[in-house]
Amino acid sequence: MSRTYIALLDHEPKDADVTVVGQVRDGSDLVLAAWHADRRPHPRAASVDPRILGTGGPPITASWTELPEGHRPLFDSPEVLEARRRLIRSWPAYGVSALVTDSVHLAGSVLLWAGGPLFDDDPFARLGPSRVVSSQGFFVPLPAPTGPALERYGGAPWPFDRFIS
Amino acid sequence: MTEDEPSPDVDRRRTWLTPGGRLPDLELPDTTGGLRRLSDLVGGDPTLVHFYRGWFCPKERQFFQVLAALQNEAEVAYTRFVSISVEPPEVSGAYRAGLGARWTFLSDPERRYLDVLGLRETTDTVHDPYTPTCVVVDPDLTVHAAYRGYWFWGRPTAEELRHDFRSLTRSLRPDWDPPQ
Repeated sequence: MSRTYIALLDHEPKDADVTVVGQVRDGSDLVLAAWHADRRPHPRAASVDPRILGTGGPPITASWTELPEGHRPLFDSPEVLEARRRLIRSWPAYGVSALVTDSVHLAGSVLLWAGGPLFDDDPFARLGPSRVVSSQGFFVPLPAPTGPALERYGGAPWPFDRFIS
Repeated sequence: MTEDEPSPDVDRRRTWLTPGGRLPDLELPDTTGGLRRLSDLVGGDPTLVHFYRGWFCPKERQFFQVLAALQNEAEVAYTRFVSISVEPPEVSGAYRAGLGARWTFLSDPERRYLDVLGLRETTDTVHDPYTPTCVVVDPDLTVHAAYRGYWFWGRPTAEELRHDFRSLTRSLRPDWDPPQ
C-alpha cells in the first residue's frame, strides 16, 4: 500500500516527489522532502498523515520532533497517549501528524503552528529532540480531529481518521 | 392542539429523528471558527450527535458530566462525539475547555438548522436554543438511536450509549469476531 513519507535533510534527495527549503530557528537551512512510495524511500524518512501536505498553503512553522532509533516509545505508551490527548483537548495548531516507521513505535511528530504560547510547549517535543522549521508550499492546515477517539486506524499515522480498506 | 404542541410541519421536519431516519449533513463552525461538515467529522465511526441548550442550563451541565466520563472509553473505541448549540464559537470553546471535553463542539448562532431539523425549543424565548436531543448515527448519518432530552430522563444514560455503540460497532466492523 502506498504511503506518504517526509524527511528533514541536509541535502536535497534525488528521488523525492516534493522538496522545499526550510529555515530552522537557529538560522540554518534544511530540505523538507516528501515521497509517495510503497516502501520507506530514505533512511531518515517517516510515514505521515498525508492530509498535512500540500503546495497551496500559507507560510507555516513546524515543530519537528525526530526520535532516534532505540529511543522511540511505543505508540500506546502513556506519554504518547497524553500528548495526543493534550493536542485534541486544546487544539493550538494548524495541524499535526505523528511520524511512524513501523506499526508499534512513535518515530516523531510534526506540529504545525497557528501562533500562541503553546507552540514552545509542543507536547511531542517533550519526548525527544525537536527543531522549529519555517517553510511555505510544503504543509497545509488541517482541522482538529473530531475526538474523543484518538486511536490509530490500522497503523496509519495519527490523526489520520479512517480505516483504509 | 395547544400552543406548546408542535405543529404538523414540525412533526414532518422531525421525521429524521427515528431509527432508520437520516440526519442532514450540517455544516457549522467549530470552536476555532473553521467550518466543519458533519459527515467529515463522523468519518467512518459510530458517532453521538448531541444538540444541547447551552452553558446556562443546569440539566446540560449535568448531562455533560456523563459524556465527559464516557469520553475515556470512546477515545479507545473508534467512537466520536459532536455537540451542537446556538452559542457562538468562543462561548462553546470556553465551555468545552471548562468541561475538559476532547470532542468537537459546533456552533449555530444564526440558528440555521433549528427549523430545518424541527428542534427549536419554543418554550425558551430567552435563549431560543436547540431542544436537547441525542442521536447515535452510523457513518452515513443514518440514525441508529434517538433520545429526546426536553425532560432530563429522556436523555440516554451512559449504559444506553454503550449498548448503542456496541450494537452499531458490531454491525460496522467486519472483524467484530476476531479473525481466526
